[in-house]
Amino acid sequence: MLPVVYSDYKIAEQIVEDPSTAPIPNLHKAMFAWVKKFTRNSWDLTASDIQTLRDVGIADSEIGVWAQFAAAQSVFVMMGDGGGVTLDDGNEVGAVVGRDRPTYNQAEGGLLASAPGSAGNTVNAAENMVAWIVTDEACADFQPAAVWAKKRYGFVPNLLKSISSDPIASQNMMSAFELLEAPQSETLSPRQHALVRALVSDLNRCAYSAVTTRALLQQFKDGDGLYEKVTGPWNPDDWNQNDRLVLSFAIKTARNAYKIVESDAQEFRDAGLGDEGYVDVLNTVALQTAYDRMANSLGVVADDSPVLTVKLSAA
Amino acid sequence: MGYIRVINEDEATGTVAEDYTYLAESYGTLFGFAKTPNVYRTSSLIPSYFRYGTLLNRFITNNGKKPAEGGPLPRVLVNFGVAAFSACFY
Repeated sequence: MLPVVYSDYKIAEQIVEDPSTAPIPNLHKAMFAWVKKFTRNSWDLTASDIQTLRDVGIADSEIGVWAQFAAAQSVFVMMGDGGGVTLDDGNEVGAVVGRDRPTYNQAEGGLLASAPGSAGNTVNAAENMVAWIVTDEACADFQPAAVWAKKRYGFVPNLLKSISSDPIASQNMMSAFELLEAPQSETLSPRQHALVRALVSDLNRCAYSAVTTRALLQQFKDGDGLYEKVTGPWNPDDWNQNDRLVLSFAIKTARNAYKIVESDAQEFRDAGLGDEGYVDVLNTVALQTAYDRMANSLGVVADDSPVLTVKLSAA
Repeated sequence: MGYIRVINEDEATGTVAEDYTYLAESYGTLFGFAKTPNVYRTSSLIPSYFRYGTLLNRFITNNGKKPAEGGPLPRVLVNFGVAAFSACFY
């Protein structure tokens, strides 16, 4: 839903076509340029993109907030497309930028750019910094999150530190971390859940998450080489029927969620995975993608250890 | 609605019911919506994911008190940008 900021809904079309030529303030153009990369190819964002925003007067704390808003919307987008939800009453902008519009297909280039097997960007943050933006993990509001993380993982992940200035955002991320630890339905297996996380994170070219997803897969009986198998060139014949279904849907959701159709959900029902399994995969992809994009866009330095619960690490 | 079964307000129980109440108040107060937006319903089959959607709402609305404010431009434009560049018609 486009808030009442611009005078004409047609501006929405122009922003999608090319924000640099839309009749909007330069500050808005800079934001949309950054958001476009965040959404379509977050792995291409660099420290100089952060500097570009600073140069137009955006504080590091605000950049961090934008990353969180963008991550939140990434989740909503996948829920909208994955659920095939109908527009709420009065959603005119949805009709403006909808599937029948020419601009719809312009998402192809960026969203399909990711290729399996990408190692992700190596982040070079300044010394003693956990990201390209300044963080404040010593602040009082962040301490409950820090205590929680140390108890659960044995350390405070850098991704959590990257949003240390905002207590509500910290709470969101804590919840997301917990949700990403395991499947939330009985039909998706822990192994399938871990495979989805690794595959999606690789599609997002997120070096930060690779540390964790690789370690997560090693806990399984066929764990040796499993990370390389799922992040290597995609070959459907390498997988059994249900794994193939789950992973194919994960790829579609991560790369071009707008192409999800009702038969995708029906395939889950036909395979016995049900709507619950479908929702579980959809949310796993959404959460993993949201936080991969945050890590990529803020240049979060990979942790020395995987983000695994203390119990799992000791196993 | 949509590709999958959802749990709507009239059949929700437990935390899903609690979250529907919060979301209805948030959207009703802030945006004048008559009911919870459809996008949240996708996850209604799994309470933990539905709760996460509620947490996201709390974040972008400052606990349901007001639309995203602060910063040099309306932060909700960031949301709009992500949706638009994802070709998400919703």
